[in-house]
Amino acid sequence: MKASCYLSCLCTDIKRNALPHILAAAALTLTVPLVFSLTSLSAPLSAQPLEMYLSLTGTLLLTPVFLPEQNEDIRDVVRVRRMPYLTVCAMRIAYLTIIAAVLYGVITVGLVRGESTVTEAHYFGGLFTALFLGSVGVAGSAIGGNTVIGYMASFLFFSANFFLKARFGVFYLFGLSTETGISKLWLLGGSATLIITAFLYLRFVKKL
Amino acid sequence: MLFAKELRRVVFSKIFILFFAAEVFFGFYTQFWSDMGAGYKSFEPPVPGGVYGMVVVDDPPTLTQEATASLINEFVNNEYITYPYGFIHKVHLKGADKDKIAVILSTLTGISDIEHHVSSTYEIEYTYDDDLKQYAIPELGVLDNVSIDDFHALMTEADKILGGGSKYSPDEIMYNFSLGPMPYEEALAEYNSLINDDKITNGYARLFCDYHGIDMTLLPVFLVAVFLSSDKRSKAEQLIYSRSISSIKLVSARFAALVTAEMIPVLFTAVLANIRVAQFYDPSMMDMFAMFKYSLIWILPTAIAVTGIDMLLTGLIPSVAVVIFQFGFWFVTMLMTPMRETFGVFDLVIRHNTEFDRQGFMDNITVFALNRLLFTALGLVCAALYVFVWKLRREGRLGESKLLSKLSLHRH
Repeated sequence: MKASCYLSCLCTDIKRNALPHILAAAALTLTVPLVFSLTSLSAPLSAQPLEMYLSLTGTLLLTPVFLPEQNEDIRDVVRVRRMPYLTVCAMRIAYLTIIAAVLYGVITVGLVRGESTVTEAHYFGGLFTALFLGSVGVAGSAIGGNTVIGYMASFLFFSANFFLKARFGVFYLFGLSTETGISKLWLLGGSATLIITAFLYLRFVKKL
Repeated sequence: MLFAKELRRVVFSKIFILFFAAEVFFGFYTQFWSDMGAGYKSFEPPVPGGVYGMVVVDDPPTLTQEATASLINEFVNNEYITYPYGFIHKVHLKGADKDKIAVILSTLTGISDIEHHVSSTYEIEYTYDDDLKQYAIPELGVLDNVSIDDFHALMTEADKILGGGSKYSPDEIMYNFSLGPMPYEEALAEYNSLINDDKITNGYARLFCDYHGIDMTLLPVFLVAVFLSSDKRSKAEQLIYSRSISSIKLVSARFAALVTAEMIPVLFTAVLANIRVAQFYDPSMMDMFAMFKYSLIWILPTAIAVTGIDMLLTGLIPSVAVVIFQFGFWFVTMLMTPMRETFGVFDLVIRHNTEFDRQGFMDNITVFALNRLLFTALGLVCAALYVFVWKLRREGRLGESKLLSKLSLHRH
């Protein structure tokens, strides 16, 4: 398969599928300075906007990754194409992750300019939190067979972190804000596991 | 019967199983059930000399002194901590706004240059965040000619200047600066009220509904979104449109089926809640119908309102967008709703996070009744409007908007 085909596919996907979701994530990012102050925050407070708010960009961007093919007619068309469907989905996840990274970069720069205590751990920790939430949505969408179920899984997991807190162990999302000291690499590993599980399910159970 | 058929479709769907599990787990098990066994609740009558928690006390000198001292410290550092949307916000005032706070402090204390006065008179208690100073301001009293009403008015004005959500706001000031330990007599009276007036379960039913109300504001959207888009997904939409059944009959049956299904986990957990409470109290003293009664007057209107609104929105915009909007609304509501029983007529989520304080709830019972009637009516009006929208779609007079089609958002 030529690289130009993938590039064309990517452009079409942004234009026809991902644009509203990217705009929603960007709008959420723009509201961060309204909801939080970004100036002179200590390290745990700097983590709050990144973990407790901006992480929802992961849900907004990644959860609808299977949305277009939820329509059976489109799914049938995709099945007969030479371009592997799951490769297209992987490409979607990759570029949406880059967009999430850019949005995280914007807010992290805002925190740095506001002279808040912010480190690489904040940036990557926040981003991994978003990716984990997004991958919960991806897995929910794939296994539930409906994007709404993906949103349900991701939103409920996010909300439950506010009141169940440390009961989630290494998958507790707000570890930097509450200074639990648990590595965020667990969330990154969890994201990879959930996405791979979702892909394996679609490949071998749903035969996509 | 159409209603029974639609109800069967809902309760035997995959999304209902998830809805049921989420409502039972988040709305009941992790809150009501776990809290009762967590060990920090006492189910025995209070004994003299114990600790019974904190309550708001009517002590104007302490309130005015502590609130003014706090405002002075924040003014001197020019850093005010507020929570306008539930999260921390540090406000740094400039120009006219800074001067307005200075005027408020001057009115309260009679000191014109408060910044100079504080730094030259009081000792620094401690510094934090490198250069912010906390002064010990023990004896600074509010002027006698400032009445308590004037004091509250000035503090409300300060809160407005700070953009709201500060500890000086009317809702928060008493809880920040006028708390004291609950006296034994009050604790005993609360306990007796729970046992005698509330027959135990009426008090616990308010706590039960407090938790379920939170989840019932969010979870129905997933059920509504999946259920209403199922016609389109199964390609039965056009077939249903062509049937002779009236729009109002079909939509009413679906609305009633959804609301009934949403109440199933609530009523199921009401049974469990009775069993749980009976583990700690004498069952012969309990009102066994309280949980069901409160579920119907407290949670059912929420279910009707949320279902009606979500049905209408799903008829107008893509279900994915409805889910995102509903979550956003719920998240902001949760962050901005205090857990105390200070609800108003227009608050969809009613909080009462205790089995006690019957009197506090009863004092607000008229507002509660108006609130529940309002949201029931809103839900029914939205459902009626959805009938109209569905009828337009059925007649082909309302299609997908060009914008939504272009963005491929119409795919359910």
